[in-house]
Amino acid sequence: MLLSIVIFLPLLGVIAIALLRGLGASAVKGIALVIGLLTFIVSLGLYTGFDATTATFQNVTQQAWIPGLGTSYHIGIDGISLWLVLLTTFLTPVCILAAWNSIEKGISGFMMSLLALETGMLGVFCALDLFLFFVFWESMLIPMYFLIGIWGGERRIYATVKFVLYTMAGSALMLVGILALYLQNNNSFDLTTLSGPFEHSHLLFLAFFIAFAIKVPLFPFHTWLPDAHVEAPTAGSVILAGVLLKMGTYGIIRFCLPLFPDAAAEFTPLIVPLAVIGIIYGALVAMVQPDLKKLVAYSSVSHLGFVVLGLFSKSPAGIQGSVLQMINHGLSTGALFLLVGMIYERRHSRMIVDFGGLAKRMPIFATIFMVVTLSSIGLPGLNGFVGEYMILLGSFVQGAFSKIYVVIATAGVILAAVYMLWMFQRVMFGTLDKTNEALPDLNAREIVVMLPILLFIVWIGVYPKPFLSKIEKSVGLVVTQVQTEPAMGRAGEQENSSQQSVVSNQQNGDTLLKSLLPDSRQPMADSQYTELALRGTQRVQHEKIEKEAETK
Amino acid sequence: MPIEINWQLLMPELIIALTLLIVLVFDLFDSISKTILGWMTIVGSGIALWVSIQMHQAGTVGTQFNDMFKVDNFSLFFNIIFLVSTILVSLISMSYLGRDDRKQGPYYLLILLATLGMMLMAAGNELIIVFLGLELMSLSLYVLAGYFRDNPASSEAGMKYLLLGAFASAFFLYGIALIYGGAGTTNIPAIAEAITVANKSPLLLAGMFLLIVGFGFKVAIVPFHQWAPDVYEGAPTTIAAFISAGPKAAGFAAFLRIFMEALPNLQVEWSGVIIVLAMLTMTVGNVIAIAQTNIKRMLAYSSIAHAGYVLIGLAAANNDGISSAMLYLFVYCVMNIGAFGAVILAKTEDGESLMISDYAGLGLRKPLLAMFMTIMLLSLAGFPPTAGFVGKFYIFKSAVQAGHIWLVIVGAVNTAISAFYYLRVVVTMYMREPEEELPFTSYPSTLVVGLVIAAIGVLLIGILPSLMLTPAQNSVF
Repeated sequence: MLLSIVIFLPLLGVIAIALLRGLGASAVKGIALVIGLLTFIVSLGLYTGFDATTATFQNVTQQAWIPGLGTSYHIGIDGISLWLVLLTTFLTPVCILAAWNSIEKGISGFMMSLLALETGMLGVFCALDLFLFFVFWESMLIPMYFLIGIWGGERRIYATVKFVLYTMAGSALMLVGILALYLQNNNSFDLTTLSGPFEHSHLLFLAFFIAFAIKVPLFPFHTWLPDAHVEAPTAGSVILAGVLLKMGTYGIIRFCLPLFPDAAAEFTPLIVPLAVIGIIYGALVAMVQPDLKKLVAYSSVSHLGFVVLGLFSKSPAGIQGSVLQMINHGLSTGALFLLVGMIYERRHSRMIVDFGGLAKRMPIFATIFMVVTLSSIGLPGLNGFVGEYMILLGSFVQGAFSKIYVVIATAGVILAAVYMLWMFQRVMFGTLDKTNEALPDLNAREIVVMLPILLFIVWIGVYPKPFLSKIEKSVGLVVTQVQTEPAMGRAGEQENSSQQSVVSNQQNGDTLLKSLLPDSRQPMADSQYTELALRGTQRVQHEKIEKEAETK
Repeated sequence: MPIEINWQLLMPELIIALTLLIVLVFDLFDSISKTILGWMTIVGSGIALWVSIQMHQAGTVGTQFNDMFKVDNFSLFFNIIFLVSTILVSLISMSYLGRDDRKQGPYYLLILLATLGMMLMAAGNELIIVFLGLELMSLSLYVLAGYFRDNPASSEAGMKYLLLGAFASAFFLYGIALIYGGAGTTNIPAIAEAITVANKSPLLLAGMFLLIVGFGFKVAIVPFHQWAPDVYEGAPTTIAAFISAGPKAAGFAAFLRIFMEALPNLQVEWSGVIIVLAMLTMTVGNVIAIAQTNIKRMLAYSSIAHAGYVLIGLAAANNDGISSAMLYLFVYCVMNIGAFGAVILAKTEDGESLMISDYAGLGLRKPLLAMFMTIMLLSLAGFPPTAGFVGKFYIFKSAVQAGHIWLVIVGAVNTAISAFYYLRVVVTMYMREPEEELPFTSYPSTLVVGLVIAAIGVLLIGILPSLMLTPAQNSVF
């Protein structure tokens, strides 16, 4: 019941705004903010009531909906969706507040779209029925389409149509996949009763995976993303980067991996290179972007590459890291888009060359920007590091693929430092342009928008345990589902060989790993990985700081 | 042989016949304002609709006139489709016809006649009755398409429709003759008995293909679709809405009944043809619709594409296939009439806005109209939570169950293609600035009522599909 309230409260806000839009812009904004905050507060009840000791779905509601089609209103959350739900309810009021003064025309339509979008996204993360999932998946397209198309930049129509068509092309295939699964599930769309192995699992895997890969977006399906991000209004970019992209990775972890483990194993050698290409390619392209927003957009391609890499490592640490990194990316990239939006509102330009020396005029802005930049790079002590480190560790130690990929991916971390810090240097330091001399620093509303995000950035960075402990069990279940397979023997071999190579690495004098792995011959418990990641945080800290000092 | 007539079984048809007589009589009196004729049509159709719903819920089954006329849930469900279409079309017609008294009488009379023809087609248990219904419907529609005599486009539409429609009727009749030659009867259940594995004479096959051609013309299946865009464009907009809705459903009613009930033993022969036609129809309809700049032509090609989706249900040839086709036809009629209604609502002082570019900036200038239009277009494109999504989903589901995965893949890809041109209208309405400031014209209340009904219907079925899904599933013969 609580979950249904969280999902549909924003929709209530849509109706309220539709009925009360005559009251004027400030009333509309007020209603939207109140509903957004209320949804967040109610969703905190999901967190406090969450039982971290089990991997089963919680807050489950099941209600007959369309018996003639074999579908029901079935929702629930586990440790993975819990955080995505909270991220969504957290970012929406932030976006409402961020859009407070920047939307000139049709404010009621804007707020209605934003709230309808929230319902759609929450529904995607909570649906336990394939039909319901698809309904939410498709229905969230419409508000996003309006957000980009009406309130976006110059090329907004091109961007929004491209976004919708890309997504629809993917979901058309997914629809066929859902129907084929339905037939193999005793004519039911219920996700919880689905159990493999399925016939034609390779095709089914692809039908789902391509839809999700477009959303993530995985290289080479990423071309819609820079357009959509750049043209969207700030709030749209934040939601797009913060939550919408996560629907793709969430879909992979919820459907592709547990339902079709054998197909996932066979396609891993194809997908992992794509993820790594995405990491490097996204970083390289981001480096040369003259436009701040485009730079952040391409950095998303790179960051999401890490998430996919972690997911397909099929190791507890890698997947936990990926889930955490979804949240991290939502916070850091969301914050970056907000900051870019704030500077754009002042200067009406996003070109890096137009700036320089801003730190002198806007010290608060510069400080916040610095923290967020470092978080995005993955500075130890901030959130980005924990996720990336766990992903790389899990992929390296237990990844079901060649270690060379992890080594290349690690280069992406360095490249991230290069493009972000270089951008920061060009925008914040150097000589202050005359046209920028009058730029005001952040006002109280903007600081209120940023502070909660900063709080979580630091919190996850310093003490990620409350976050990881809720994720752990659910990820553990996914890992067992991926590995209990007809291909069990093969998975076991891989584990063996990976352990052996760990040993050889130790012999090669990899002191870091040696000190981190107490006894690498013993299979490690999930929680040990968590601790490893935490210890790693302190360990690598000074190395990283040195590296960044050099880059500067 | 004395014929015992069970009047109760014929109630919906009788009510429509009575209504059209009343309309005919009232049209004779010059002293009465003729706008009342529209209301008579609506009330008469409403009563017939109510009776049909009651009979459907009671599960009435029976045959009349020597087994020529069959009332069952299948025909009653189609009655509901036709009558809802007639009511909606009458509602959107009232303001469109204006206050000119001379225009009113024949208009509603012909609409009621066409409706009666459709009901005969759905209830025909005999190829001859189906043909009679088809002709009654078609002849009325020819006149209606050319109803604005002083408008050359309308006259051209009427003429074109008449010529091609007559061809189609000829094909259809020829098919009936050949089937009679092969099976020795025109009674639908008797034909099924006459066709055995041993008796698949070339006459039957030729007759069957001619029937496909005949129906193909009537419901606008590629490659028999060329008349549709010209007729839709030239005909009065309300009549374009009418032709695209009820008559198409009636064509499919007879199509489904004849192929599933009379020719099930020829399924091996026809199912391949239907699959190919379905793929062609969807793809050609959607791809050509992309290139259209006139909204009526765009809706014409979209309605061709939608005939392709319905064909998927026939290709599936199982119970779910039939009920999904029926559900889809119902949904399609409501949303298509709604879309045409929104086109009428966009009328300005100096005539109708028919170019898509005329809709620029409508989202801010006429928010209510833009909202109606958006709901209908999203439903046509098959976005949840609208009825169009549920209908399409159910059709795809039944085809996957029947093993036609490729057909569903083509259908799903077509859905994505169709989103492009439907959304382009939405883009124009909300995201482009108007080129010139157009004067605001007031909304005619009857038209708005019709659109509100259509919009509520589309959303209600989208959110609670069981309302129509269960009746549709109970209506398979």
